[in-house]
Amino acid sequence: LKIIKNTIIILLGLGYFLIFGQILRPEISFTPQWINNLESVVNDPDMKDNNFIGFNLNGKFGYINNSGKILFSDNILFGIAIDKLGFISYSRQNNVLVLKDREGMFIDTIETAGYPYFTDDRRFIINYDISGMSEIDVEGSILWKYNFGSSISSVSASESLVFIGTADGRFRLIDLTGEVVFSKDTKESRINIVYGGSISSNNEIILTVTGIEPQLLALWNKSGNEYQIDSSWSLNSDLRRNAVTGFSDDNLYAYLETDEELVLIELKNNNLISIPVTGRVQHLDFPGDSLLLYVLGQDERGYYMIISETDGNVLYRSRLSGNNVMLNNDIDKIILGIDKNIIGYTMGSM
Amino acid sequence: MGRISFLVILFLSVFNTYGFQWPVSDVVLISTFGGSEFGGYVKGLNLGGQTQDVKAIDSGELVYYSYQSASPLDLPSGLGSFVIYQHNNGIRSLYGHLEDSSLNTTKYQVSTLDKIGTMGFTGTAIGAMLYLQVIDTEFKKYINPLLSLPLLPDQNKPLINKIFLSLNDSRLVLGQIKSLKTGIYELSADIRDLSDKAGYYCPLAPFSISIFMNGENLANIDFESMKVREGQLLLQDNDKWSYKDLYNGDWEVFIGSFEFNPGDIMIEISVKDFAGNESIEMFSLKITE
Repeated sequence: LKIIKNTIIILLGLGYFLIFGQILRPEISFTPQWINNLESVVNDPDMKDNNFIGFNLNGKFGYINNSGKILFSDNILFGIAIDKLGFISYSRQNNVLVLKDREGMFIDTIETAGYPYFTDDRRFIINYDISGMSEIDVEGSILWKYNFGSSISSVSASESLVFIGTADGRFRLIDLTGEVVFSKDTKESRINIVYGGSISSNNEIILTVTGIEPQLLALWNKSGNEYQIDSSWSLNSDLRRNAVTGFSDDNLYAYLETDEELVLIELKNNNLISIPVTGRVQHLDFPGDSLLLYVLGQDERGYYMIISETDGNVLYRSRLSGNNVMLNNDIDKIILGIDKNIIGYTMGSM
Repeated sequence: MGRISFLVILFLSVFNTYGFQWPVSDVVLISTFGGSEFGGYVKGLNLGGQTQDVKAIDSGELVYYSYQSASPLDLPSGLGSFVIYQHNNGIRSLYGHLEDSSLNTTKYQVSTLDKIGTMGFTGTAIGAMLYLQVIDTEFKKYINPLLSLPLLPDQNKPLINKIFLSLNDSRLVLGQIKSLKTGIYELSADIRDLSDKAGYYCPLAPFSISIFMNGENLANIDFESMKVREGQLLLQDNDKWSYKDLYNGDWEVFIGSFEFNPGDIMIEISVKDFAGNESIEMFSLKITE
């Protein structure tokens, strides 16, 4: 009887795990490794570590490594554009921008009027009236300038091309010399306007979000020197603002932020996956297939963080306290900044 | 041609053919279309004065809005928080520097009575400001908003401060010379419009500049519209007058290169503002071999 009883218990246990094992997923745990208070930070320019990321938190910016050491930090004047190699801290109005390296050392001045915008390892200056832009190199030299007949609504770059969408419904691809290599007027909607768009890092795919009635999400595949629509969807959204879009690092997914969801597009089968979000996405890390997606969002209740699998299964969703929050997980740790503190976590499953 | 064009524009504005309204009740102009700002053209109007409610220039539909610093992923904008409305006949209007909390981004259809925001300090604004831009999407060009808005009363004439003639490295001021040697001279002028509606210390761009030699019209510069061609913004929709072509400084405009042949010549420069006030400067010169 005892053997039968034990066998039944084992079978029940196995059955439980067989039935519910797919539903029960490991919970995520965060283990804090270090904390750095930005009020009492000491710059350490002698550090030889190259593994720094830029941070921008609560009126301060700088560089921090995965051990929580600060290479450099300073107060933000009015705005900041920062990447791994350098930054421009700018005031409300400038005729000259000052480019510095990550140790705060002067590199060059740039005689231009506009705000810098560093994205996708490229550096741009957006004209004050956002209808023109230029690109600068790491030394601060202006590579090209271009004026558009309308306000720029989205900019995304690969290593060799930059996608620029404008409020007149046109998008262009500009190469490293400032030449327009592809241009398209979107004309499918009652009102034509580009709300968002991105180019994949391998230049093979463009994603666009355009128009009012209908509002269209489209994927354009490269065909020779042109791009042709491969797939398009009429969205339920009625966005009247910029939509955050992009591709996963491995180019296997594209994504789009609407008012109520983050839409992932599995590019191998054009499967759409929805992750509910509220407010605006503030930061997004999306390495790619079989990896996790990290989202920092902000709505009227404050900040929140989502960690999701690529099939849309949300592993972690939590509100974050604090008036200023930043998230980064570029350097083998989750770096979470909340007001005056930056905290490094390792992530595990329980 | 320039004079006819000016009369047409004046007619349009006097009778307010577009039927648009000023977006604020108390109009104070800081800079106007075609003026020089941050090393480029002003593509609209900058309005200052006290903080005021802003209304759309015509009934229309909200097609785009952007809050200053809504997300670090958004583009940085010198316009701060701004909105774009679509009106009839492919006209769009943009309103920049609005106060963040004043934007009404849930009401898409607006009438001319609806408040769409409040003048604010966002973007590059260092005081309460409104930037107004009008775009004709059918012809893909920026229109001088003064063409579409009710005419502002103004008794002040534009000021032709100085007129320069340059040849190689020499630069002469017209009025200070009586004779010149023959040659091809570059003619430029420091011109500012002084308007009753301008803010304190805020000279404005003129509306048209014409040059005549011995009664013959040699050049006209009209501040009516701008268009982008191959990435370059051009005033009056032709191959001339990129910003660098026109401006030698914030107020000095390059009018053209002219050949002066031996004999007596009369140079006349006419500058008009949008209200129709005109200033004329005439100079006689003896050109020698």
